[in-house]
This record gives sequence, structure tokens and C-alpha cells, in this order.
Amino acid sequence: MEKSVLQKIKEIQARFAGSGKHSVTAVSNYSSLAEVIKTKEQADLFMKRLRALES
Amino acid sequence: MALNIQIDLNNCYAFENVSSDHSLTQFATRLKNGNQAKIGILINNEGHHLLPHVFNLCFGPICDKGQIDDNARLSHESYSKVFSTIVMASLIFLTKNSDKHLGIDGSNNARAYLYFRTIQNNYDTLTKYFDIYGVNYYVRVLRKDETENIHRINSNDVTAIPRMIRKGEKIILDEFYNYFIFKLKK
Repeated sequence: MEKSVLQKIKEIQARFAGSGKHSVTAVSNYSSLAEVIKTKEQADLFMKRLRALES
Repeated sequence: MALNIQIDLNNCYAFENVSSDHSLTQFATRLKNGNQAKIGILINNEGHHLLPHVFNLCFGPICDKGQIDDNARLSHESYSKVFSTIVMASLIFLTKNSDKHLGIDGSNNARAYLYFRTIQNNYDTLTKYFDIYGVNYYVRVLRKDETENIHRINSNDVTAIPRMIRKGEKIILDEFYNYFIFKLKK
């Protein structure tokens, strides 16, 4: 990694070292199946397509 | 949204706050209408259940309830500066958590294409810092297919296998990556 970039990263990390944790969440988050499949219709479609792949 | 995004780590917005675990970064961006918007970059504290070392990164304006609206559409004065700031925040997290990888979801085809083009246009810069992978994510099976032709889906759509993105790679829409993984280069 370039020294100037590494230096900048270290400066930012040092500046906010004692800033504490957070409790922020996202309105939508696509990273989990539960977040993506919210309705029975979506779950049925998902299963239908999975079965089609297996057959 | 502009496609000609140029990543320059010497041209980022100033960080207003970074949580002590580096999973939340906040900065103010300037919009085309002259207003400012508070932007949050949030990294999940739980790994992806199909890709356990991968932690999802999302970003967007911080709304009144204190949540990050990762569906919002803003007209930024400089998309290059916004994305450079996001890359810097990613580096700040990964240098402290080198065993973890970051994942960015192209939640629709337009965003996925934007991310792919941005990676390709900045390949030499980004690969100085990251190994970058694309995933045909299982969520694709839920996307509306106008013909409802289930046979167009292949097994990669549900198995989430990452492939390293190559410079100049051409990819057809049906096999398009919709999830991108950034791993700190050793």
C-alpha cells in the first residue's frame, strides 16, 4: 500500500479511536435471505425456482 | 447517475465521525443543488450467511430516524469524490479487520452495472489495495423475469460462488455479477 494512503488511514484511525460504538441500521439490507424474502409469495417463488434447478 | 467515476484517495470528503470499530463512517457530501447531505457508510456486524467472511457494506443519506437510507437517490456534485470516500472508509475498516472481506450488493441491475463499470474504470487503482470478486448472488432468482422462464436461471444464481474480476472483463447481462467482494490485498 502507498505510504501516503497508509499514513492517511492511520491518522483517521487515531483521530476517531475513542469515538465509541454506534446503533445505526440501514433501511434495507440485502445481505440476508430473511431481508430479501418478506412475503409468502416471494418464498414460494424462491422454492419453486430452486426445485426447478434441482430437477 | 454518472458512470465515469474516478477513484482518487487524495480527493475524499472529510470524515466527520468513524465509530471505534470502524463499522460506521459519516461524512457530508455536496449535492448538485448546492445543499449538503449527511452520508453514512455502514458495515454489518454479522457476516453473510452464504459467505461467512463477507460483511455487507451499504451507504446512503442518514434519515430523520437515524437510519441509513440505502435506497435513496441523490444527485451528488461529485460522484468520484463520494466513491473515493467510500473506498477510503473500506480501507480503514479492512486494515483493522484483515480477516474480513467487504461485500457490496448491486440491489438492482443499474447499480450492479454502475459498480462493475466503476471497478473496471478504476481497476489499476483499486487492485493496488484489493482483490475484487464478483458473485452471481442467489437473490437473482427472485428478480422478475418477464417471461417467467425458470430455465434461464443457472446454478450459479443460488450457490454464490465468487469469481475474481479480471481487467477488461466482458460479461453478458444474464451472467452479470450483482454482489461484489473486496478483500484487502496482502
